[in-house]
Amino acid sequence: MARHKVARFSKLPQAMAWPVTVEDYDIMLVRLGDEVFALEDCCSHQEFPLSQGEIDRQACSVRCRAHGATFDLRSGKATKAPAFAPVPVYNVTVEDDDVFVEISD
Amino acid sequence: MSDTQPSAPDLLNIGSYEAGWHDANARYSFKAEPGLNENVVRQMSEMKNEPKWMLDFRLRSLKHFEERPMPWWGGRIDVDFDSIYYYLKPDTGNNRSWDDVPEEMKQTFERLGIPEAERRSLAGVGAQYDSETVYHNLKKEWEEAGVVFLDMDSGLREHEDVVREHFGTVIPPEDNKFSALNSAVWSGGSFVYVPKGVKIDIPLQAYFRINADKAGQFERTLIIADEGAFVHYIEGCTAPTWTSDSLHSAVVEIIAKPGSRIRYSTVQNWSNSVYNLVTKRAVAMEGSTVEWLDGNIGSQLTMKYPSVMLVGEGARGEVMSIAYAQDGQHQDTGAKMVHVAPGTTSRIIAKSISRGLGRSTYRGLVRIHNGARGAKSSVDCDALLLDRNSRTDTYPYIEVEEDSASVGHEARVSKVSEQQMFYLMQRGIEESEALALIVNGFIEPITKQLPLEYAVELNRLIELEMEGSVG
Amino acid sequence: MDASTSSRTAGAESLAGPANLTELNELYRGLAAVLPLPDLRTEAWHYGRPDRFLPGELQPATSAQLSSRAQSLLELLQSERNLTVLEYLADNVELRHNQQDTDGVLMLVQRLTPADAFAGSPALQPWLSDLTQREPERLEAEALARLQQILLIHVPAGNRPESALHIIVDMPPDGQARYEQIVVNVESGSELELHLHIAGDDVAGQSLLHLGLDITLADNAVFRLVRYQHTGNGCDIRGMERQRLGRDARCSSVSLFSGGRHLRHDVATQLLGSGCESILRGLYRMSGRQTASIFSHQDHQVANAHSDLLFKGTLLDRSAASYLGQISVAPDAQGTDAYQSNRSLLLSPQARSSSSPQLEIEANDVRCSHGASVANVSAEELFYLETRGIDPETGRHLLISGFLAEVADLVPEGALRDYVYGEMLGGRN
Repeated sequence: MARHKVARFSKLPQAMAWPVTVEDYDIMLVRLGDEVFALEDCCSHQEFPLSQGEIDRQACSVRCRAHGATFDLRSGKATKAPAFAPVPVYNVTVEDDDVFVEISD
Repeated sequence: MSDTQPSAPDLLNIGSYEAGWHDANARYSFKAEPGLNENVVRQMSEMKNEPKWMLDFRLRSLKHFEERPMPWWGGRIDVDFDSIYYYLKPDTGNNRSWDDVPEEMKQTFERLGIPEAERRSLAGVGAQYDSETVYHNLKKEWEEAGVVFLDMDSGLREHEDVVREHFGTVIPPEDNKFSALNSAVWSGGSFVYVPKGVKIDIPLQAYFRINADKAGQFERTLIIADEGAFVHYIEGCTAPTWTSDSLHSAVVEIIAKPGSRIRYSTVQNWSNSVYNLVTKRAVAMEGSTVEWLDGNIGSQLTMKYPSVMLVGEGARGEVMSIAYAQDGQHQDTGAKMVHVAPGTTSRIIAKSISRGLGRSTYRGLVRIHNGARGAKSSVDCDALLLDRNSRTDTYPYIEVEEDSASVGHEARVSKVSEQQMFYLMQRGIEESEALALIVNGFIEPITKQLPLEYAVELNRLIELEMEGSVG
Repeated sequence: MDASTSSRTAGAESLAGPANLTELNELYRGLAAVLPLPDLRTEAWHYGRPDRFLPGELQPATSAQLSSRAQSLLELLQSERNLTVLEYLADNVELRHNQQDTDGVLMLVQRLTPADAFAGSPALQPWLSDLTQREPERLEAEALARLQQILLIHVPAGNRPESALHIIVDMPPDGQARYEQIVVNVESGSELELHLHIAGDDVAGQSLLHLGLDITLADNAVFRLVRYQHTGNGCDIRGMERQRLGRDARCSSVSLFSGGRHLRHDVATQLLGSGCESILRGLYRMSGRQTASIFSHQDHQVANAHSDLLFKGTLLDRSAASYLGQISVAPDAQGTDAYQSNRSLLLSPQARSSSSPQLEIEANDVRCSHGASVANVSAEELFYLETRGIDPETGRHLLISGFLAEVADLVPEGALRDYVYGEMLGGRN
């Protein structure tokens, strides 16, 4: 398990997808309030980048721009068709102003 | 064929192309202007007295349909969307008694053998004429068991909560251009709900007929089998032969709850002027089984890939399909199996026959997501080419991200062997008959899964299609 | 149209093409500037990531230093007898071609530089006309725009060199990109065996190679190819192989891929003469975070030709492989016999594999089939071995070796076979 510093917490916009690349992994960060979520930036339906989708603050979800598939930001679970499989989520920690994402080796 | 009661083999008389006549006297109480715009959609929703959420759903879908480009893959779609009639309301209500169905329509369906079929071997029947359902009936014993079998419009009126909870959850409007179109202008189709543990041992049938020139038919079907339930649903479709194009664009959503089993059989025989662009998808929960049995004959272009999303542990999906393409026809069909949960299994058997300059295409996807431990899938495609320049294509896509899964795909292409023909003809069998025998043998693994009447009909259909195919 | 008009037209067309490499560079520089990168709508790139093979900021290769893998390969080859060794390296390295070893048999190996007139090398013509007639593709255009030399191997009619020709292509150093084109023209009744070694060491950043191999086989020509691709971390390779086969020509190729980072390999065989045969075998062994994207096309344009493709691979760790292959049979290609198969062993929970073997058939008197499978080693087979007293770990090792051997054993016995098993496919399974 490796921790990677991926962003400055204070620079992360609210309720907007923030794509980062860590060791070949495309990851999408989303900050909602004081919480930061990290998901694979790839829709499980047709691999469209989720970071181009819309964030729903209330539902804590992201909706894919391509076909409307929706995923829970906390669990990565698919909540609306046409996706039925989850997207991987990553552990996020914030220390001072640094955002870390954990990736298994 | 006569207009009197059809005999048993004529049960679903959709052959060669005997369903080609149209009912010239059909009266429409409402015929929207051709073309599609917000007004047509609003008007339609208002006439149907729909709740606001459905109107919003339709409008959102229309917007998506307009924005969405045509699919870049598949067959050549050359539809003039502005010349299509999106809503044709026949001059009749939805009848529960056959006697109440207007005479001309009754004749149409009698020629197609529907009432006979109902008496003989069905648990319930729905018949749709252009946009609206004209007849619907479910046998009393099933109604008492809590089974719901309604046309979709009545389903929405009588079971709004259930419909709202499930409608568009398997196939959202945004799925593809034609699911968006259907979602905007859907009318008719079936709503089926089978309660927990109820097993309907004989099939339900819906019959879809496009009668008018340049008509679009956009039926919408939602089938829900509750835990441990079983239902076999059969769908048949025809249209008369017109010189201008008609469009059939259905959406079928199936939800198989834990331990249930749903079988959906289709025998489609469209005339050459029809574009048949259909989205069919099922969600299979824990321990459930969904089977699609799909027979496609006729149409200018069919694009149809029944799918099963295997989201519950141990769910099983199966697609068996037959496609028959003749001159001027392109059958672009296949299946999709998406394995999400552990222990899920799927099987696809696709058989296609191309005759003359007909083209049949198998297009399929098997996807095993990470975490679908022990998932298994097998795909088997067989193409039979009857003539020198008949065409066949195979486009399978296999995507595996789970090392404990196992996926196999095999495909073969063959022609009718001279030895087989020689052997049969030596025994005094006519050439066309021999060819039909060989073709029927070729599709037998699938037809034997159909109820006898349908299997007989499909075989007879092939025989009729064979006549004049030799020489 | 009478004969004189048609020959005039043909002459005019050949004049219209680029006259030398400089003009060719110019032509493709223009195309590279306007062509979009292929996306997944381009069937051949359905599973590909073309952006990985763009030159970007990479500098053109300049180093004269051999990589350690290339050096040891060279020593191995020089120790073997009966081999014609040809180094084909960076710009500053002299081409050493031991032509005397071929027993006086004629084989011309020529290096064309930017100013050399194409007209002076008629053996280049089939490559040139194929190149200019087909639809250009962005990545290939990027490479052709930067191509600085062409290696032409020409076997005139009726020649059969007794020993194989070996070529080593070395990866450029970190931060650099190399573009190479090898053109093989085997004339009627001739034979050639070519071993192509692609070597390179680990680099911290990126080392990129675009390697084109174009093969023209005239009637009754025979060609055998073994491709050994074994490079280090950070090495990205786009290989493009095209074959054109005349009547009764025979072509067999074995491609072995190991190491490197991102691999894209395109192979197209055009069966243009009746009775010709193309046998294609490939093996990819991926680990770490390597990716492989393989595209094949068996293009049957005439009657009674035969093609047979088998690509196999093992996937460890987080590696990913995709295979997309097409067999197309033209309406006149009656009597075609074509086969295509892709088998992947997924050996890690994080590995991924996709496979799409495709058929497009417009003639009916054909024998065509294809198959694909993705799975782990079979539990049943492991169990069987266990009942024979073989522990699961050994059994697994045996099954994987057996899986690899079907293709790896096609490499001729001797030092190279040992190299393949030791260096390329060795280590843990």
